[in-house]
Amino acid sequence: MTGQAVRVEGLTRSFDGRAVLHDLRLDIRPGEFVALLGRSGCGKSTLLRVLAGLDRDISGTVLVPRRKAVVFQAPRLMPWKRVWPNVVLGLPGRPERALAERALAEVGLAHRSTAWPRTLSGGEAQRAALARALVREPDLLLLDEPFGALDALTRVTAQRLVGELWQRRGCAVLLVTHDVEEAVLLADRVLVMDDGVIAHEERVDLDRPRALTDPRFAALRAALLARLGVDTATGTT
Amino acid sequence: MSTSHAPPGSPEHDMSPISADGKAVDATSAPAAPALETLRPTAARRTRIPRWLRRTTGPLLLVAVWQLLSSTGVLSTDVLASPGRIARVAADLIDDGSLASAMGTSLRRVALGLLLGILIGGGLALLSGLFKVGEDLVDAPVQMLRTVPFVGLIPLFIIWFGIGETPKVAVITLGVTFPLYLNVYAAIRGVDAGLVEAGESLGLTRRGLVRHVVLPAALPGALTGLRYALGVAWLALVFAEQINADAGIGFLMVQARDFLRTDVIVVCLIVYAFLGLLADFLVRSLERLLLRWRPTFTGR
Repeated sequence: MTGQAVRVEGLTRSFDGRAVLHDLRLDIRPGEFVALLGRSGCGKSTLLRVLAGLDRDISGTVLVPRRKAVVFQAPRLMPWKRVWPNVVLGLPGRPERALAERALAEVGLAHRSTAWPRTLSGGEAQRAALARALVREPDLLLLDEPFGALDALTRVTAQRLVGELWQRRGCAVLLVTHDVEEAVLLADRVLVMDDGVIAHEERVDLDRPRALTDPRFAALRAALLARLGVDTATGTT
Repeated sequence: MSTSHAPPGSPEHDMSPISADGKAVDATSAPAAPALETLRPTAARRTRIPRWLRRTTGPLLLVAVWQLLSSTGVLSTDVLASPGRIARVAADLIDDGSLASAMGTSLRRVALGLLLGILIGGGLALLSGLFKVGEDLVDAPVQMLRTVPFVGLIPLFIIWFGIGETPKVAVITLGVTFPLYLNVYAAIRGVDAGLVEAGESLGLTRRGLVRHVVLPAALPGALTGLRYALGVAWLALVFAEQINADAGIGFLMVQARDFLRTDVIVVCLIVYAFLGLLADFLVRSLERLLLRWRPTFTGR
């Protein structure tokens, strides 16, 4: 096997006889940023849950790194633990507070390490969830629409943060999203999922940091939208 | 302080040229500014009497009316003793130590029954809440037994355990077990699946999940159950002590009933109420301590 961060072959997952993932194939190289696009209900979140090891009711081959971390759409912090114990929750042994503080500093949340999760704003809570994922030093970071619940302004900051963290850490990332712009902005490769399989693949060779005003960016975005069945003919010709 | 809703950028002259009948002079200009009124903040309208004083006035008035009815003879001592007399009797009962010893006996019964009830009810709830096998084995029988009114079991308990302390503690234990079981079980089963999943994704073991996710999440529900169980514990105590008791507050009441001493009965009722209040206060303090993470409990 040539060094891959994720290797999936012939993956099938059915709910009540209906195959949500059907003989799916997916490879992710180490350090690669992959975005997974698709209409809601196409099975992209199911695929992420399978890769996270949260859904084992599957058939087929799935190889994932031992060290992996998930950031969900909702922050899912334990409300009865302050921020820093939340960050190190589940780490083996007795993790030090300094470890959590370092991860929190990385996401710009060092000043909130003793706050209760319920007192955080939406953006802060999501950054804490990101710190909780990073502290595990994952080889594979799974992001399940992590910016979906954020307001437009916070989302831009959070996307930039994820881009920077990925470049610094060099881990493989699978970002599940329904935002085409976000996918093109961050990913090396954009996959479009349809009917339980990867229906389309698009390489993004634009230089980073990417500008939304780049005509090639707009062309890619339009092509992907067309793939998803959204007509952009009136916008771009 | 006044509030103005006029657009901030509107020119000065738009405000003034209004004719005597109230219509705008120039129909083509911006709409005429409406008459403005000052919105007074609510704080200024509030009365000066502090809230605690207003809240204590009601009960005090009630006691005053009661005293008035008693001293004018409308309310006879056989029906209900006067507040003054009740206070004197309470002082006597405290002086000769009979109230303290009765309270001690009753408190011991409640504490023991509560402890056993928490152990049994909580233990069963953990068993059926955390394990599928436990649920299948435990839940159905408990739900069946729950429908039996526990007070109705007193005669059976007397046959089984005699007339000593055991049947009294057993009744309280039984009364405490079910509300606690129901609340803890429901709380464990109501834990947010998203948080459990997040815990799993963080690599928590099954034990870690129970300790760091399930139990803390079930705590608010468990405390609600505890508060409810405390209420039932006092109720069970009253029932248990009315039968074959030779000590405790209930015994004091039965004795007083035989001598038509309404004053002693009222003193005992007040003691019951006071103890119930105290227990409630303890659970509230416990909640404040353990549930600091809930926004409703911060900053108090």
